[in-house]
Amino acid sequence: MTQLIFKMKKLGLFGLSFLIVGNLLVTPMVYVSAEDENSSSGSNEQSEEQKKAQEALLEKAKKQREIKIKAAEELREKAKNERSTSRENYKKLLEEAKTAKEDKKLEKSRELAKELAEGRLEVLKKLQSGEHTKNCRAAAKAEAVTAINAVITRLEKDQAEAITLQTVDSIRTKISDDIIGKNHVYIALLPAVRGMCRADKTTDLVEDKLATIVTRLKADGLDTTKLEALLADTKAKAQSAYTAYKKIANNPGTTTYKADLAAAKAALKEAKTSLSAARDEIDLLKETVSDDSTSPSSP
Amino acid sequence: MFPEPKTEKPASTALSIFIAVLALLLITGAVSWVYFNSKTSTPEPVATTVPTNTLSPITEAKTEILAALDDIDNDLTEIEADEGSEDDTVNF
Repeated sequence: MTQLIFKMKKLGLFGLSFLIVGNLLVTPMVYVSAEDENSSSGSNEQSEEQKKAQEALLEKAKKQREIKIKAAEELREKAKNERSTSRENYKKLLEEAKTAKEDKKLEKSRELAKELAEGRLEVLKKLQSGEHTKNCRAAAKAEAVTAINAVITRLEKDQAEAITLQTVDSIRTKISDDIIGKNHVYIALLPAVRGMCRADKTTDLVEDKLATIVTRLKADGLDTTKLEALLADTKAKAQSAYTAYKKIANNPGTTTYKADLAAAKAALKEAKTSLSAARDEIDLLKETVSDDSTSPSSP
Repeated sequence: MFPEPKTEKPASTALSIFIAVLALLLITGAVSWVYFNSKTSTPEPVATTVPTNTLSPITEAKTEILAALDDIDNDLTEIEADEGSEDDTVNF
């Protein structure tokens, strides 16, 4: 009987100790697993936070774009008003030259020629350092400025010659063939310089920022083959547009300037189309990334 | 007269060793309990690596492209306005 009680006591002690040791071993594990859960919910919070930060930055970029568009519109309006004032001046002089009496006609014609050259020179001087060329990279800006300077030199020469001409007919020819005809400042040179710089800026975007981004996307394991092809196409079209616009800027008085401008604009539009397609490809890549992050991880 | 020499039973020796091991485990368990408890009550500061001022490459690419498309559109509008200008038409 005593032996049985002793055996039961031993068994009881053994059971108790087993429970205590088991508890002591399990408790830390429970804490560790609780910690893991905490940390995993923490990473979820972090990814939420990242998403919010990205959205905030995207929103900021959108607002900046809107501000930029508004500023461009304001600038356009300002330029339009300035041009309108200059236009009113020359229209007034044109009317005076047309209606002047014979003894005043030569003088008024000279004034008109001077005003027409002066207005163009003013625009071109602003163009050299103004908003048209500020988007150009250094090399493209140098080429644009060379083209602008060539027109300035021609106009200054024409202006000087016009005021020495002795007949109204010779002044009329000087205005139509030289001051306007050789330079086409408003209808050819201005759009050509603007097109040059936009095309150059687009090439720059592809070669610099977007190339860096593609490298980062590749490092993230994304397939960028299609995106790279579209960006290469954008660059080729932008370079083609640049060459076409540069040709016009260097010779704005050519008889084919209208067709040349149309071809250059078509190339710039093609660059835009390729860039739009690149944007769509980016959207597809974004969907791929979202799908990967939402799908359960493979075992 | 003399007390009987104390002969320890093997069962009681085993019980002593068992209790000693148990005590050791108890101490180890207590220490680890305190350690893990302190770890959860004062969590290490989690390194917040949330990029608050950098965009993901995809978002950045989209932002850059959208801005460029706006710029091209804006310049195409300007170019078309210039091409249609009548300022180079002087009927004298």
